[in-house]
Amino acid sequence: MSLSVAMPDRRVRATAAVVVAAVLVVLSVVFACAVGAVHIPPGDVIDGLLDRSDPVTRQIVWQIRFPRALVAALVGANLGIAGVLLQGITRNPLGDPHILGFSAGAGVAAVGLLRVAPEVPLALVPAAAFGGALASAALVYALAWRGGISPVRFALAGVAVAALFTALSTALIATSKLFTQAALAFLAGGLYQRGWEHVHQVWPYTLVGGLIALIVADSLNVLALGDDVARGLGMRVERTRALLAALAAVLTGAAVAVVGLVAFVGLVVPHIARLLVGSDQRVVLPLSALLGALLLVLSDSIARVVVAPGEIPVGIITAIVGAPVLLILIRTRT
Amino acid sequence: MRSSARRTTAILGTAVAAFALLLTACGTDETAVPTATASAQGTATAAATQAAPVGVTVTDLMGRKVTVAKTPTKIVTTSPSALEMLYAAGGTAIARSSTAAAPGIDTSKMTDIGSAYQPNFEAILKLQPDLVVADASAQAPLAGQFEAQLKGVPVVFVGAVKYADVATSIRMLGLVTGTAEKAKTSADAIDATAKQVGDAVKGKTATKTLVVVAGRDGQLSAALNDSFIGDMVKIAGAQNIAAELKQSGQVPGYATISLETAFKDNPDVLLVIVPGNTPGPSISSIVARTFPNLNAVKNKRVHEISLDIFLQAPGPRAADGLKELTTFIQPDVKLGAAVVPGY
Repeated sequence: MSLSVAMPDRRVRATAAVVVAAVLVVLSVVFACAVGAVHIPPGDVIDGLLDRSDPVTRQIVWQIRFPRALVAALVGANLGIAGVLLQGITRNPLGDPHILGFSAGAGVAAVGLLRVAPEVPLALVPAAAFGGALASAALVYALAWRGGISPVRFALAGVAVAALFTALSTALIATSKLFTQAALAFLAGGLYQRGWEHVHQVWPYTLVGGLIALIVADSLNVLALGDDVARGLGMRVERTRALLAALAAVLTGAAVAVVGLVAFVGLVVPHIARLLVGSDQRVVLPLSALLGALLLVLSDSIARVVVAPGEIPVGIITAIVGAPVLLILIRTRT
Repeated sequence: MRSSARRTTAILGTAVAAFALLLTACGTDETAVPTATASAQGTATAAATQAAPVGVTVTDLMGRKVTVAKTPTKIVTTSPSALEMLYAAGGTAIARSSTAAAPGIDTSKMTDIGSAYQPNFEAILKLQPDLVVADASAQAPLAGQFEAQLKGVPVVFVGAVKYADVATSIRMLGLVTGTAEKAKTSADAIDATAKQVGDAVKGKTATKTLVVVAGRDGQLSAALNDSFIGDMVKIAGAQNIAAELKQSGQVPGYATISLETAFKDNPDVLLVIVPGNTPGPSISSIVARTFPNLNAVKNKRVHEISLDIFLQAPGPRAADGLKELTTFIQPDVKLGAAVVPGY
């Protein structure tokens, strides 16, 4: 098989890519701790992290920037993994929690809650978003079901649900009229004042979800051969697809519950990963998790710096940073 | 080949797991440290305050008890209201929110700490303030963040839901900043204006009035009686025709309405607040064209009023604002010159 000839080179390449990406993630977190409204040199960042600095630096590095960077990394990883899973299930390069309506479900749940009961504690919004993402994924799945799921039907049902829920969110905001700061902030997505409590809110999902995704990554490879071949190889196609979709929904739900709707990460990151290491999902998956983390940590750093002391929604930056990277890779690699 | 691929997966999996565990370990282990330190510091401060009771303890506009141990010299304000109230109370600020500005306050040397909706805590911490004046309306959802991020720095919340809250906020700030006399003078003048207006309109027939806020998207909201401007038009002798509406939308004290329902009750006076630099025709010119038979239009009693004073930055300028409102609502009432001293 030609594959076996290419294997050693591929493995070196894959390992190198994953290791480099992991190092870059760590460096990006240190970078994120150094930049902001107040400049802190990298040496002082390390001192701040190790509690050897003055109290102000310590507070800025340890209570504001470091946990925020970790939240960005965890959420980016979640979205990257969810993107790989959804692109695998739908066998469609546009598979993404945002495009397939999972995020839109979270959005409509959060905005609907703020609209119906504006006086609810803002702490309930993440729970609503999480539930919305799961419900929306279940709806997409149910709509795509006709004695089985076809990948194309799943993708189209997702796009339809995304359009419907996005319209509903807009309608809810438009009719609630004047003051919709909280709702708009959620839809734009952002990491303002995300701290340790949010780190603790996401990491179990990233860890457990990421491990499960790694274990089942090989089944994505099999699914890629087509349903008939997969069945021929003994896979229970529907059950596998449902499990992968549920996993993607949980990862997305945990992510959007914490940062709101951040588009583009789940879409662009798996493509970049595949262009770097090929199509073996067992490599694409961890690499996408790392690249997702890297993209969101760097994007959030930019979001905090460009209009400091203010900031702009991170979703805008992920698109501005991610789109050219993807385009360059698509055009320079055959 | 197959087994080597499996091994790669296993290694990758272990690596990711280890990485995740590392993060977790960092998270749990070391958070315990600052928490412990912080609570130790908190206890120390409390003990010190008890031992040497030189500090001032006030109840701020969010009902929080705040102790300020020594007269502050580095005061950070985080909203337009906070800045203006501090200056009316005789204090000076080293920092302000991005858009905070008022005639008579020199903001050129103040550090910008970001918007009132998203104050930048890094920028505030860097200034090492000994008092932070925050906003009880815009920043109420962030109260927990203020306390968590600014440990050891006293934070007082000021604001005005009613006109009378302006004077209350200013008096409270005066106690905290050690300028109680100056604050009392300003606050008394603001209260006196309300009394002067109240006496002048006593016995007059209340004027049917509607206050609308036009959002950037052209949507309208009417001020209810329990909004800041709603309270003020009531003092100025108005009968708010939106008073019976139920609150809707995100800000307490306002109800979303359409133009048609807004004018069903045919207000004699229409007051319009327009946020920002809205391109295109103003809401008052649209009203004049669309509803030519409205009493307020026929009698030229449609007025655009200040976004700053009546909605975004309730504060000491409200005293002059109240007089302006009175001339619109009860035009035959004669009031003296402004009684509020400058900053």
